Amino acid sequence: MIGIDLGTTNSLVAIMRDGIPVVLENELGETLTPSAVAVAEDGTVLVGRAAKDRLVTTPQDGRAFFKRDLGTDVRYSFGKRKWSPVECSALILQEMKRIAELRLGQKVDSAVITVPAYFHDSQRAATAEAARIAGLKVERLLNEPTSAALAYGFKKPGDESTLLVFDLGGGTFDVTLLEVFDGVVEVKASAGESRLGGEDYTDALSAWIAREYHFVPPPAQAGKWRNQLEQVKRRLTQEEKTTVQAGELSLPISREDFRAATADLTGRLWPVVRRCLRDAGVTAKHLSNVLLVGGASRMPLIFEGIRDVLQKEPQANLDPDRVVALGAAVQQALCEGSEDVGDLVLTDVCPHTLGVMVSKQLAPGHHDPGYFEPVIDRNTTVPVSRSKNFNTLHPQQDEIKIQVYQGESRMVNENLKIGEVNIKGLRHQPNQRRPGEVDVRFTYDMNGLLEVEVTNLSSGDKANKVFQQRPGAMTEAEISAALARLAPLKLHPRDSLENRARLERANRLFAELTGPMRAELSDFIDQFEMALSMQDRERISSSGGDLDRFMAPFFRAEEEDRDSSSSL
Amino acid sequence: MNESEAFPWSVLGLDPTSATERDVKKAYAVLVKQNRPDRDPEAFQHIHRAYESALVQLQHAQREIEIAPATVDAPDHPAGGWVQGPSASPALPGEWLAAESAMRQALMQADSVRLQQEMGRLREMANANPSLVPAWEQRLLQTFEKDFARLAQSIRDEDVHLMIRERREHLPEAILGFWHATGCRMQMDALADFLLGQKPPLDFPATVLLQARLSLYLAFANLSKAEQLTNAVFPLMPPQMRDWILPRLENRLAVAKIFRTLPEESRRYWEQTLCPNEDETIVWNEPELRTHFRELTMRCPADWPGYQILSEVIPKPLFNRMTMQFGPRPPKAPAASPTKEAAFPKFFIHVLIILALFAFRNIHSCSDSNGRYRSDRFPNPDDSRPMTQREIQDLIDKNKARKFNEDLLKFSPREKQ
Repeated sequence: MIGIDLGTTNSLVAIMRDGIPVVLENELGETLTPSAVAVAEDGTVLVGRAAKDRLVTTPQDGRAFFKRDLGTDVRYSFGKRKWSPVECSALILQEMKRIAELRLGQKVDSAVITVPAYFHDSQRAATAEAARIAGLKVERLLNEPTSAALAYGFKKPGDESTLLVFDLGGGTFDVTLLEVFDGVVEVKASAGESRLGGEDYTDALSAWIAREYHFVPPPAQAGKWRNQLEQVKRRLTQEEKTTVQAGELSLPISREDFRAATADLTGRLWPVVRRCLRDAGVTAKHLSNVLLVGGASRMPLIFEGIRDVLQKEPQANLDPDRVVALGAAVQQALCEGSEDVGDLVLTDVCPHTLGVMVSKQLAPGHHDPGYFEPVIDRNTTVPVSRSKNFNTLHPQQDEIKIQVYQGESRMVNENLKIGEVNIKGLRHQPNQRRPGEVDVRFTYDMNGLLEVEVTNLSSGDKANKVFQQRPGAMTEAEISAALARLAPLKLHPRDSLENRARLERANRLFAELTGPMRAELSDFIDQFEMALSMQDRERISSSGGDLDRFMAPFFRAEEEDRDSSSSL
Repeated sequence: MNESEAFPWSVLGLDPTSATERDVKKAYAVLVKQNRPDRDPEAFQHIHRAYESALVQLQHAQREIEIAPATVDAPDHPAGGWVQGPSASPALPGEWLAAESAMRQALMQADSVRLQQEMGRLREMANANPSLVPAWEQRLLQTFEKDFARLAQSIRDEDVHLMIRERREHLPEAILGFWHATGCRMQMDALADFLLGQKPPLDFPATVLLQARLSLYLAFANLSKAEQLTNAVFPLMPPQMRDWILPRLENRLAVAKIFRTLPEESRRYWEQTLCPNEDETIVWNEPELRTHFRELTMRCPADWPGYQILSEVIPKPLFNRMTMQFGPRPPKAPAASPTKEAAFPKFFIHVLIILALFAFRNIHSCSDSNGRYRSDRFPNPDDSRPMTQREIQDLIDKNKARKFNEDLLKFSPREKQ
């Protein structure tokens, strides 16, 4: 029913309305809901803007950027308990589901969720688990750049074009090359890095300031400092020079400084672009268009870099923040077979090479283990089924352990192990036609699920395994346990969501102000909290209005930044 | 190969003699809408294979048309990089042109001091202004075409590095070939260190091939560095290129591993014998072979796997003469030292075992069974393997570079024998 873009920094939900995809607004009138979770003193769980504002003053009360830890066994401690990245993501998905139900006026139980193209299996599995905990059936895990291209292809189905999607989000980086023709959106190749994004640029800027100006904020100010740097980054997309307030000092920062501070990160982007082109077998001159996706792709250095590397003006007429969510809505309509999308067909590729560990015979009688033998090459169109034959090393060997790996290195120890399958009964016997030989078949479906089937070619015996059970994946029991743990959580009462966000915003401002202004704000907050505790609607709205009027001038600049950058 | 790949045109319902890329895409679009990947994966795979195969066949046809004019072209457009640089070479400064003609003159007059000077001037200008690098590479190659050895002596490592960084590969390739042929191990080591030290790695197609080639050349001289290069280059190759190059590289590494215990001098001899250059037939010099074979038998026991390789490469009568004469020493004898009479039968048993082992000729324990000792050229892609436009272009460029390499062989010491 809905399409969700679960982002590192922000998340969005979109639907098809009257044949066109639209992004839904939350109660605060915003389409971008920050991917942040926090717990207030009274145990109330905050999600979205309220949580993000709270993290500025008390970073220890919650967590943002947890998407980067999906698929690992990292745990966060806040609100008197431990949280997994999956649980945090589930809360965001739940919030998206709630927004959609609010706007649609009906129950929502399934969704298309987007993931970075370069997410590997355990990261995809973790995303699917989060959805199940949030009470959503996953119709499809859709790659983010593909989703963006789908939104584009939906808009211009007739054009025959070769597109490069450059997706630099808050925490991940993907490049995808696609062809669009006759209502077919065909992905040719994807490449990426799963830990490279706008947040790294903010970190690099912070490190640069520490180096150049010897300024490091006190730990209590870290959240606020990061927020300031975030604003600097945004301002630099518009202006050549800006300043940042560091304690008493006002530090000047120019675009050139920012470029120098982040040169290492930017240097990591272009090899990924080249690899994608190389794998697709095209050169820059074949490209008809370059699409920029993800908030961080707004940085002028990205724009200029693309012009240098690809000799092409990137296209900026689609909103880089929303285009992924819009594509997810289109995919949702495709899954339903809706008439809105006509007969558009989407094909995608598997981004990683999948293979098995083999021993190579380097001298007669001597074998070296640990080599990676690809079975499905990266950027093969899915669904796909491929097989290769392998031998036992010795006539007396009865069992083979097929170890399945994913990655691009020649030696398996630098690749990621996905699992293993055992097959027995391979000892050579007389009159066998193909003694000790097995056929290993890999079948990869559209959701990125891998099935491995091993056949003993002399006896015809089979062993197979579906790798739903990825490293770090949860069992059924664990998922129901997680559900049980999240169920009693006291989420903020819906009608007070706006008030909660207002209060968090006020607390954030309180931390920034000094002297009489601070005292004045404190009075307004007290008034408002008193009204809240009395549950007096009239007093809540009047004191809330007072508070808003007082705060408005302080936030105007920030809002202008946000508005201007998102209308780019 | 399966049916839809072998007969893509009937799957797509097209006429192979007249269909264009546009027709293929149109037919595919119609079919794939009737067999959507999410509803009927089997049928979709069948159609998709036919589609890819048809596109590849069209590319091949296209290539045949393109090759002719491409070889006639002077090699002055880069085509090696991903970026189309300015297609016309930039106007060269007067100073540059002066240095160039002075260099040519010095070369003609065999005035090496002046040659050094003029080359130094050009080098400084190219260093200061990388956009001159293409012109610089080209002129050096043109000027020294007849006397490549002099160029190789006059050029510095930094120059080669600069060219590689600027995505020029013709001259670095030719220099590398020269170093290999004349046994300049130090220079090759230094180049490997330079390539391995690049962060992020240099991943232009030409550079990837250059690294693969260097790894091949270093296998005997410096096995661990060659392994490092192979590992570094593996992730950079598109899968098709990987399938095409890697078996060759791994064969060389495996052979080098067997011979690694020998002293450098004799390793070099065996490298030249076992891994000849492109299209080169080995002229067997029996006295030389005898010297090296004797040294081998002094060091290596009879179960040393290298004998098996030698028996395959050395012409049978010659090999038999060698073994009759020197017979590999038996493995460390337990008690009494074996007499000559005893050693012979033992040796024949070993030969038998080795021959039996030949059932497992393939060096990989996986299904692939490429022969072991081919030339160091990567296979000619003229077989039916699908190639991308990119690789095709690379090969065209490569063929141009080959001309230089053939000239180079004249300087190979073996040629003088």
